[in-house]
Amino acid sequence: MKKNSSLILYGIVVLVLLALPLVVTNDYDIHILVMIGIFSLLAIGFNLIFGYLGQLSLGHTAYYAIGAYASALAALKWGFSFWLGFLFAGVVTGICGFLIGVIALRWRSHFFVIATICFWGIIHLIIFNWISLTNGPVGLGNIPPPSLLGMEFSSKIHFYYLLLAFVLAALWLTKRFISSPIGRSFRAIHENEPLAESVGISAFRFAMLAFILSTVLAGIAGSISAHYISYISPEIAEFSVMITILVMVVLGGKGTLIGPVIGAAIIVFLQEYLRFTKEFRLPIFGLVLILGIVFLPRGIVTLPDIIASYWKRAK
Amino acid sequence: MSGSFFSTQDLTIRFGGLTAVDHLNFEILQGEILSLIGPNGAGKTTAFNAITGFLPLSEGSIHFCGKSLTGLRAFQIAQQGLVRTFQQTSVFPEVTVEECVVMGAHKSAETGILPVLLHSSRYRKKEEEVNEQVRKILTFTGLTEKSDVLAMNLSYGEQRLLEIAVALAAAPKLLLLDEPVSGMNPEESRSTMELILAVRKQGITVLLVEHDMNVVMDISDRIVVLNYGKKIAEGSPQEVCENHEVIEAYLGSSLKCSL
Amino acid sequence: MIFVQQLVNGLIIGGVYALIAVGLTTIFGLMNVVNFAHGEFYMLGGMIASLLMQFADLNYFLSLVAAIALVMCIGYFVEKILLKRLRNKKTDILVAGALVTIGVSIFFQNVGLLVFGSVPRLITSPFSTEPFKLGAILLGRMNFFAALVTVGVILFSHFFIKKTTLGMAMRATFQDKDVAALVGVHIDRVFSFTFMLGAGLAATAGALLGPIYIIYPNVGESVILKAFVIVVLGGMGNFLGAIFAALILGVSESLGAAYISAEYRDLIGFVMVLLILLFRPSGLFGKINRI
Repeated sequence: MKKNSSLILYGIVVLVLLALPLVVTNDYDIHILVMIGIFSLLAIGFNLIFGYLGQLSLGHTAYYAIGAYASALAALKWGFSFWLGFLFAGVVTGICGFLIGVIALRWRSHFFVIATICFWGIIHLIIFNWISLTNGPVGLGNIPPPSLLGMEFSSKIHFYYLLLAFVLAALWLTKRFISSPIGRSFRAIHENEPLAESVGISAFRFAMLAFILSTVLAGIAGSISAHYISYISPEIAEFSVMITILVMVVLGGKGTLIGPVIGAAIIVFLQEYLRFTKEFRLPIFGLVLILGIVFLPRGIVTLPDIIASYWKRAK
Repeated sequence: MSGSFFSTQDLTIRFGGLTAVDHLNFEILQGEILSLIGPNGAGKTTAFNAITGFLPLSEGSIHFCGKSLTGLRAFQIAQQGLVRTFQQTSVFPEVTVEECVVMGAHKSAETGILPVLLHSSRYRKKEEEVNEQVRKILTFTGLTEKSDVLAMNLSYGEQRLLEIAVALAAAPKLLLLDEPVSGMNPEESRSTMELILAVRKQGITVLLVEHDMNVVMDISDRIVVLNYGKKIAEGSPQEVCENHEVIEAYLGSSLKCSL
Repeated sequence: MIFVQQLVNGLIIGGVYALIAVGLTTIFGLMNVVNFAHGEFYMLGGMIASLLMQFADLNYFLSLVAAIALVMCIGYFVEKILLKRLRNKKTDILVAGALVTIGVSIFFQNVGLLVFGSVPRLITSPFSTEPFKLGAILLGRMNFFAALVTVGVILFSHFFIKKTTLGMAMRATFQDKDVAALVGVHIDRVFSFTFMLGAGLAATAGALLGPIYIIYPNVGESVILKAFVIVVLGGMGNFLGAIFAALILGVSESLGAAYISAEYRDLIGFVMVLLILLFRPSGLFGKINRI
């Protein structure tokens, strides 16, 4: 019974999302939805390694940037289509995730955080200074949009549906993993690593899986971003992007399925519609981060539960 | 050596200048309950941690069912069938009792990426098997009623019971219990003892590290006594009790020998 | 001769790196918190000193001392108001501490931006710009002063931790928090003081480097990266290790920038960290030493 009713709920949500562009016709609003989509992918991926496994991949923007540049360069230099490009981006970032994982995941916690930041530092330096490859601060432009069945993506709505497909796929993938023994292993490692090891769970192996998945998702998000905006520069590797992703996941609810998406939606809304607070954007994020961790450590997703339990206690 | 169920050869663990375990040789026979005892600081827990892969060996080797465990990581040793519990209460705190045991059943579960994504029939069958196994273990340890309680909300005695349940879910051939009755009242100790005997009846060999001499004398088939990292006695409870060195080592502490 | 010159430059900058890193590694070793706001304490040290010189008409040396004192107060409040609350909860202190200090770091960066403006500042050096000449080596007077203060402060910290009661309390807490609490050490006070000390050290570095390198509100970002690199290289929680690692990094960067490439100077540290993690994760200097 329960399974059927949640399936119906999913179905309705998907239908609504599919029909959304009929209602939301403003080009700018569609752009917001596309940005929510891109950041959702980033947040969902980050949530895998950070939310479920508790490892803070603080250099995560590196993979976003690598994906964007890999896809862009493949398109500009080798004529890759977007469809080949995003696969290429995923492979490259997956390999990076594997390498960094081998170095950093054997010793988790603080070493992992610092190692991921160092890798980010290296990537940032390379993107900025290897001018012959990346054009440095000038960036790469004229990145061609995707084409489907011979037609180029000419409207933001096309990107909306592309992103919708990817985000739904990412959510499906996450759900499948998390509700399986793989997800239980993630949980076990996060709750009590020595105990997990004592029943045969290899913390390293599962952390690697989560990490590589997260880097691949970041790479794909980068690729889509590159072909959407059609211009990329070292700015996409800036630490402020990392903060944004972090706030999205922490606020939305780390370790939950749709928390990252909700967080992405909220933050993108705030960023775009409250344009006048541009200078205050980052300090507000900082405050949100602090307040969030102290008061709502499980994120907004748990707000209904918290309110419910207060209600019960008040009675 | 390779014929025995479990044995250590010259197991030595050093920390800097301190030799915590000194050329320890002992055997565990299949189907028995062996207790490892000794005064505080004798090296029991150190040896325990080394055997289960949580500490590296400085010298020596460990063999189990014909395979060498030397140098294997903790999870690999667990996969070989050697499962341990921890001295300090160790559960998955924010997870229900049932889920804890499900997590313990990792070895029986399907973790291949494709089967998981595709929900293949093999995957579904294994999940059913896991659920069945968990149900049995919960009944066996008497935790069925507490299935939906969060592990951290259990009483101390219940948590220690849960530890054993989780360890059993990992399908051990050899179960290593690290002070399973510490902090328990006589009643709880008694029921834990009965549980350990029932575990042995299931065909699982048990290694026990324990301070409570009542428990040790009552359920052990054999006892190994350590002092200052060295084995000073080995044999049946009666034999060990009458051993001069053992009596000397325990001088001042309670070594109850009334059988 | 370039070599020796670069070596000396590297040692001096390495010394100042050490000031920053020692505070970070001590905070980590004692409180198990990775203080992401550490770079901002550096920035605040420099900025406040600059402001005091500009608006309160204080001379450099007084501004230096006042800035350090002020930043230590700020550090005290951050610890009391935020970090202390986290300790009482059941959250994973490492991740929660990291996130909260990231938030604090963002906050201070933007406060800095609002208050100090985005124009980078260079504190006017109290010394003449004519460098000392030691043989063929040139040594800026400000650089020399910075090196002296650095050595002094580090020696002071080292002896403080070794000889005083509070220092002993710190060492006890470092080894085993729970036991220290049991024997009557005021853990909260130790934590407050440790955090203040770390902040003060970073601020000292900021105010010392103010006349040499420019200060801008986001300078903390590059500072914290350097500090992380050094702390990992030296072994997290390892006081002496941090000092040696800082010197090694300073010299490597200086030589690397001179002989290989200037733009990729920061790359050296990052690559070293990844290599260390691959081969010797406890740092170049072995196990965690006592502070």
